[in-house]
Formats: sequence, C-alpha cells, structure tokens
Amino acid sequence: MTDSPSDAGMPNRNPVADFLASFDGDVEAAIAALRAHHGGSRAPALPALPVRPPRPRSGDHIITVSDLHKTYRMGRQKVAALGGVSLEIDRGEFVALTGASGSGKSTLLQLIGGLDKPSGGSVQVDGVDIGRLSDAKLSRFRNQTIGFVFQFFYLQPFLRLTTNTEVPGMFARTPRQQRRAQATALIEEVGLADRSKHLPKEMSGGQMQRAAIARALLNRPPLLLADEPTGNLDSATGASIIELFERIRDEFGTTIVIVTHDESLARRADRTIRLSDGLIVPQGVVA
Amino acid sequence: MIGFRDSITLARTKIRSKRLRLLITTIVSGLLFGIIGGGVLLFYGTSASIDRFADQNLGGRYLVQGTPVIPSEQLYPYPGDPALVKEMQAAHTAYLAERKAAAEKYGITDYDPRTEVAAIIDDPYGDPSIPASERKMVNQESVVWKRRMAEIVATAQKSSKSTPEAFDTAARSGGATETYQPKHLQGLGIAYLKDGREDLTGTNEPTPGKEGQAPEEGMESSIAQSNFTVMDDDLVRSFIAEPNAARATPKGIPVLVPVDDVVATLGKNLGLTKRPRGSAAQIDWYRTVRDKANGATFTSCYRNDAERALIDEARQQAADLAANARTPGWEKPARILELPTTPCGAVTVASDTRTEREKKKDADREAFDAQFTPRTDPRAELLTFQIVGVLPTQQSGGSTLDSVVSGIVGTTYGYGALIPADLLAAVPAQLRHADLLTSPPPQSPEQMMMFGPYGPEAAYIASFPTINDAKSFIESQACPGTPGVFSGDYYIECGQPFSVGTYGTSYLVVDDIARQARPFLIGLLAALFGVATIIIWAMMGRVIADSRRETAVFRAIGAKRSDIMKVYVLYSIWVAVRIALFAGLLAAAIVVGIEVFFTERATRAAQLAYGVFDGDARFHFLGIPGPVFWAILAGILLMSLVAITPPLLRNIRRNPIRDMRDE
Ligand SMILES: Nc1ncnc2c1ncn2[C@@H]1O[C@H](COP(=O)(O)OP(=O)(O)O)[C@@H](O)[C@H]1O
Ligand SMILES: [Mg+2]
Repeated sequence: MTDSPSDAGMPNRNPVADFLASFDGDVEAAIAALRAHHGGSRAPALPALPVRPPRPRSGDHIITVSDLHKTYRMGRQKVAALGGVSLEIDRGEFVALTGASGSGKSTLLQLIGGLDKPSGGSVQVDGVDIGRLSDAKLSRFRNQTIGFVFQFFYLQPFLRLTTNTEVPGMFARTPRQQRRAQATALIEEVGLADRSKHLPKEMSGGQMQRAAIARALLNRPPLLLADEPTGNLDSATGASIIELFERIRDEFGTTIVIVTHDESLARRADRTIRLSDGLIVPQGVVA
Repeated sequence: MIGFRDSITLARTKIRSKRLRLLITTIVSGLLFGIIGGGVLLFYGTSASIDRFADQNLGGRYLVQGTPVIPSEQLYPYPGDPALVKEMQAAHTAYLAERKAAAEKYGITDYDPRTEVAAIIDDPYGDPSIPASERKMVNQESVVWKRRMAEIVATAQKSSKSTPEAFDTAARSGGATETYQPKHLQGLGIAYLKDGREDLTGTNEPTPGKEGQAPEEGMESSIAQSNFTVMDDDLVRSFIAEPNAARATPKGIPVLVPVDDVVATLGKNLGLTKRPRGSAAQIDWYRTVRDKANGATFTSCYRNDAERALIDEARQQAADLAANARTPGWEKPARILELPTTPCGAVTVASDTRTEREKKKDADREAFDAQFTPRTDPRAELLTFQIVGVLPTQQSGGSTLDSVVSGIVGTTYGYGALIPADLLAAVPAQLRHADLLTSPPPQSPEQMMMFGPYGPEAAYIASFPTINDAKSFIESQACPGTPGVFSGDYYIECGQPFSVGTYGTSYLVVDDIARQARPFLIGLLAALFGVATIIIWAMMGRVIADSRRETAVFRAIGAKRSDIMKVYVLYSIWVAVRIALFAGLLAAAIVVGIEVFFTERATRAAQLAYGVFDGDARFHFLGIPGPVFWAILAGILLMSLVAITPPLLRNIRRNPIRDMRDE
C-alpha cells in the first residue's frame, strides 16, 4: 500500500504543539495545584505529583536498566530471553533497538514499558523501580508515562479516528472536552486531520500507524516505545513514520525507543543498541 | 476507573463486532426465554380468568366436597376363611332350627329345609394344597351371610370417623362458614314414565338397550335413571331459572336437570334441538333450553318392594293365563290379580275364589315370612317433577379450544338431577311426597360404599369464604404425598376420614394442574432455560475469549483490571437486555396473539363450562406479569453476567504481552 503525499509532507508551523506543550496533561496534578493555589480546601492537600521537566536535558537518565534478566518458561524448557542487560537512556533521546529475530528486543521493550515483570535485575523509569509497582500503579504508569506503538497498530476497529485516539484518555478519566481537543490536535499533528471521522479499515497502513502514534501520545507520556512500528509498512511510509518520531521528539521532548531491524531507519536514531542472544553487543564490536 | 459513558462507548464497539453471532444468539435464546415467558404470562392470565369465572359462578364461595372414606377390607371379610366358614355353618344350623320352629308354629306343613339357600358352598378359588372336597366358602346369597353383613355394617357405622358432624367440625375449624349434606336418592324404586305413560306388559325398568346396541334415546339421562339428589338451594342458586315458573305455580317436585338430559328425555315434547356445535350456538341453545324447560313437568312412578312383587305376580299370572287358556285340566289360580290401567296405579284383585282354609293357609305363610323379613304394605305413587332450571354439563365435541377450556375448568355437580331443598319445602305437601324422598341408612356394605356410612349422603360439602381457606382445608385433609385430590385408596391407607376435593367448579384446577404438571413443567422450563443459558454462555465465552488481544491492548495503554471488567460487564448487560427485551416482546406477542384470536371463543367456552351466561366475566389469556415473569428477565441478566465472569477473570489475569504476541 502507498500513502498519500500528505503523509510525508508535514506542516512546519504547529500552533497545537504549543498548546500541548503548555498543558501538562496531568489533570489531577493541575487540580491539586489549583487547590493549593486557592487554599480553599481544608482537607489535606493532594500529594503533589512529580512535575515532568518540560525540556529534555542531556545526561538525565529517564531509563535505567540494571542487569536485567528475563526467562520464559515453556513447560519444562526455560528460554533465557534476556541474560543480563544494563543500559541507560537519556531524557529526549531517540534510541533504536536492533538485533536478529529472537534476540530479545521485544522482551526488553516490554519490560521497560511495564508489560511484564523481570526475572532478575531492575528497570527504573523516572527513578521508579517499576518491577515493584502494584498492578493498579503499573496500569497508571503505562497510561501516563508510556506510549506504546505496535507493529500491527491495534486500533479499535469500530471506533472513528478521534475516538480511537481518545481511548488512553478514557482510562485516565480526562474530561471529555479536553480529551477531544488533545486528540484533535494530535490527529492534526500526525497529518490525519481530514481522516478524523474514519474507521481504521478505511485507512491505509501508514495512516493507521500515525493514528496509533497519536493515540500513544494522548496522555503526553515522556516515553514512547515502539515495537517494529514500520515492520508492516513499505519503506517510504516507514521513513515518514521515523520522521514523525523525530518531530515528536523535537517538539515534545519525548524520549523514544524503537525496535527495528531496518538498519537504514536505525541509523536515523541518536543511538543504536544492538542485542544478540539476550545481551547487548558492545559498541564497535561487529556481530 | 473509566467513566460510565466511555465504558459504554467501548462496550458498544463489541456489540458491533461478530454481529451475526450476536444476532443468532439473541434470536435463539430470546425465542427460548420468550416461550418460557409466554407460558408464564399465559399461566397468570388463565388462572386469573378461571378465578373470575369461578367467582361469578360461586358468588365468592368455594365449595369443598368430602367423601367419607370407608375401609373396604373391613367390610368384606374373606368368604373362604376356614374360621368364618365354620362359624357360618353353625349359624346356618341355628337358622334352620329357627325356621323349623317357626314352620311348626304357623302350621306350614310343606316346609322343607332343603329348599333353603345353602350357607356353605364349594370354593373354586380355594387353597389348592388342601383336598378339593374341603375347599369351602360362605355363600354370599345365604341369609346368615346377609345377617353377618348387617352386623358388620352396624359395627362400621359405629366406629366410623367419617360422620357428618366430624366433617362439619373439621371444616368449620378450617374456616368454613357452612356445611351441607346433599341427600342422594338413587335406587328408590322410582321409574320414569316416558310421555306420562306406563308400559307394564314388558318390563317396569327402563330398557337398557340390547346387547351391542345403543340404549334407547334418553334412557341414560338422570331423569330416566331417576338419579336425584336433594341439595341446599345455596349450592345451586345460580342455576335456578329466574323468574321461576315453578315458584308461581308449583306443579310438582322442583328439579334442576343437566341440560343434555332435558333435551334427551323431554326434547321432543318441548321442541328442543340437540346440542349444536360451536360455543356461541351452544350458549344460545343453553338459554333456549333453560327458558323452554322452565316450569315443564314430567312424571315418575314410585313403587315399593311389596307393590313391585304384586306387579311381578300379576304379570306372571297374565302370562300363565294366556299360555294355558286351552290346556285341558289347567286350574286357574284362586286369586287373580290385575295390572293397573292408569299410570302408576295399584295392582287390584280381579277375582278371589279362595276358600277360608286357603285364605288361612296364605295368611300363615305370610306370618311365617314376616318373622324373617319385615312386612310392608304395597304402595304406588305417581310423582310429578317440575323443572326449575338446567345444569351445565360438560360435553366432549365442539372445537378443540372448547374441549380444552371445558376440560380445564370443568364443573362437577356430578349427582344427576338436583332437587333444591328450599324450593321443595315450598311445594304443597300433596305434591311434595316428602316421606319418599329419603333413603334408608345403608343395609349392605355395597350401599355403604356407595352412599357413605350413615345414609344417602354420598358426600358432605363445606363452603369457604376464600379460595385459600378452601385450599388449605383440602390440603389439611389430604394424605401426605398424594398426587391428586381424588385418590380414595390413598385415604384408606393414610387413615384420613374424608377424601376431599373441590366441588361445583374446579376453582383449584390451576393449582391441581400445576401440582400434577409441576415435575414435567419444571423439567421443560429447566431444559429451555438450560439451553438458552448454554447458548448465552457459549456466545459470551467466545466473545470474551476472542477479546484477549483487545484486552491486552487496553492493558498496554493503561486500562486497569477494573476498567476492563466494567466494559465487559456493561457489554453483557447490554446483550442480556437485548435478549430479555426480545424475549419479553416475543412472550407478549405470543400471548397477545392468543388473546386476540381466542378470547371470544374461550369466554364462550368458559361460560358454557361454568354455566355463567349472564355475567360480564371474560376469559383473558394475557395476565399481569407476576414475579416469575420478572424473575425470568432477571435470570437472563444474571445468566449473562455469570457467563462472562470466568473467561473475563481469566483474560484480565493473563499476561498482556502473551496475548499480543499470538498473531
Ligand atoms: N511469551 C513467551 N514465552 C516463551 N518464550 C518467549 C516468549 N516471548 C519471547 N520468547 C522467547 O524469548 C526470546 C526473545 O524473544 P523476543 O524478545 O520476542 O525477540 P525479538 O523481539 O528480538 O525477536 C525468543 O527466543 C522467544 O522465542
Ligand atoms: Mg519482536
């Protein structure tokens, strides 16, 4: 499938980005701040949530992975998917995870995203060891801190684009109007303004992946994780998706980790981390 | 947690997926639940209608009939019992001595004890292990046996707990306001005079019809069979025609006759046609019969045993005279009797050429007989009956619906023609024949079994002010574990004094049917419910199982377990509401359809069955839904919620990434 030219050509000026940048996305924090400001409540003030710094600073690790192990059990057999991975990713960094199929890329991404529990070692995101979070806290973490983009998009087949984009806001209980505004802005941002009433089946693969990216960004997570986001797209469309990631990183300061085995796309990232048999291949070593 | 509107938004997207499967599930399970619900609505409607008609008929009284329970084995000793045989043998010897002494006393010179009926005869069914010559039994025709039976009856009467007083006490303590003892008058020697004429040349009894032939027209009717019951007016008031011709000019014994019997016996004279087909025509027919028969009369003849013996003798003489008129040397009897020439006239003596000696000999013979059987004077009396109303009767035939309705609601007056006691009392004494309209207490076990232990009351009747009083009285008198209310054998075994059931209209018919059909219905409903439930479960299970990836994606983008729960619970409520709605509408449609097409006919059928022709009660099938109906709807909801729980719990406990991998 081929995408329309508008997929590739992006408007340069973006007023919505400014709005999004100024709004923190964290409603509870905003309400808490308002309460504190007005001093109207006699009840103990809500605990202030850590305010995310608006701009990335280099050397500030958003992700710290230490000696991460993951072993899958397949009946009697044990599969060591990760055999002791340690890495750090800076805030605002755009990192590509590469490696052969079965090398543990998806596993690493999922552990960082809190979709699974490590067998050993730890993952810290924003200084929080996510392996120790309760299920409810982990859900909130995934909702607020992580944006997931999947190879097969996984949009809701019977929701129109705007509503589809709003789903993470539904789980966050973001007020409807605000959610709608955010979704509309993001849809424009990813270049699908004229598709907002479309169902997924009425869109191309590239458009669906843009929609999925818009959805991942709805709660303005500081971290975007994408597992082979271009794996199901032709190379031109894949390239435009990578461009979109770059722009998101530039405009929102979002830290981005993508899994890909397309070397040419990986090269556009700030840094490439190569995995082999569940271990990081040291830089400069040719696998 | 996710907001309500949002969870609806997400739940609705599920509805839109797998639409065909959802549609089929909705239709099939809705159909099954609809049938159950329709049946329940129909049940409510029909019960309410039956109550309405019963109420119109009975005027808010509920009658219970108690039939005395007589332990039959106590009444019928085994005639081959060796001890009894021995005892009867001795009694017979004593009886013969008695006879011989009496014969000597009255100068009966030709008395021969060998002409007496033997007391002991061979027992063809005797114990085969003893020699055939010793297998003996008591002859049930013998005098000593009959005497023994009379003793047994007297003992049974004395020990019976089934007295009218006991019934009255029990019924009143159960809330009855009144009890009645209808007097059954069958077998009194009353013979119907067809067209007012009496034919004594053949037989005095109604022709029962030759072998293999239908009995003569009308001969099975309560009139021809002289099957009368004196009953309190209270019990039959709704059938007494008003204005009543008999009240103005009483011409005889007032009687309520089953409508078909009126037509069968008096139809020709009154210009009545046979019961037509179709309930509307039958209602008109019933009214016509009621109006035309109002005040009509018919006659019967009462003759006591002595008079009937004379009739037989006169007839025998007439036959002998005709046969031997030309026989040389044949001697005419000295006393010649003449058959009556007027209807129900008395036998007269045409000629009596007996000598004084002969007269004395006959008188001695009579005195001898009178010592063993009490003597009564011959008596014949012409009775006039006047119809004061007609009773509804069940007739098979007609449309299926008619027979179904009348079969369900049926009236059971079951005593042939009824004589209202108060109306009877108002009739001038010479028309009333009050002394004839009583039956003597039972003399034999057979009579006791048929009419009860004390007299002609086959049953006692109690009137209750509410259906519940009547019902609980019936239940209190019934034997534990009896399947139906009329099960005499059970009563004997469990020792209750009365076999009880509804009387008049079967107002408890719904209860009865429900009781009897309960195991079957519960099974059927459970099966329907089970199938519908399995369909819903299977469908819901599949939907949830198919939603694993979706669940995983929701989890990945931040849904809590409770969010997922909420979405799917709303989804299954929505599905259940659709099924319940469909089932409810279907049930209503079924019953409304039946209502529209059948109410008219059912009303007429019920009017016929209950004999309520002038009331405004209508037979409705559509009932106001009761708790069972709502329980079914709630059950559908519950079922689908229960159905999603296990697969849903499994889903949300799963590791989300596992479900995203399976492509
Ligand atoms: N859920 C699982 N159960 C069992 N083995 C798994 C599971 N997920 C991944 N694996 C195994 O772990 C290894 C790493 O898999 P994965 O992280 O998906 O590799 P990649 O994404 O680099 O292709 C593979 O050998 C894979 O078969
Ligand atoms: Mg992978």
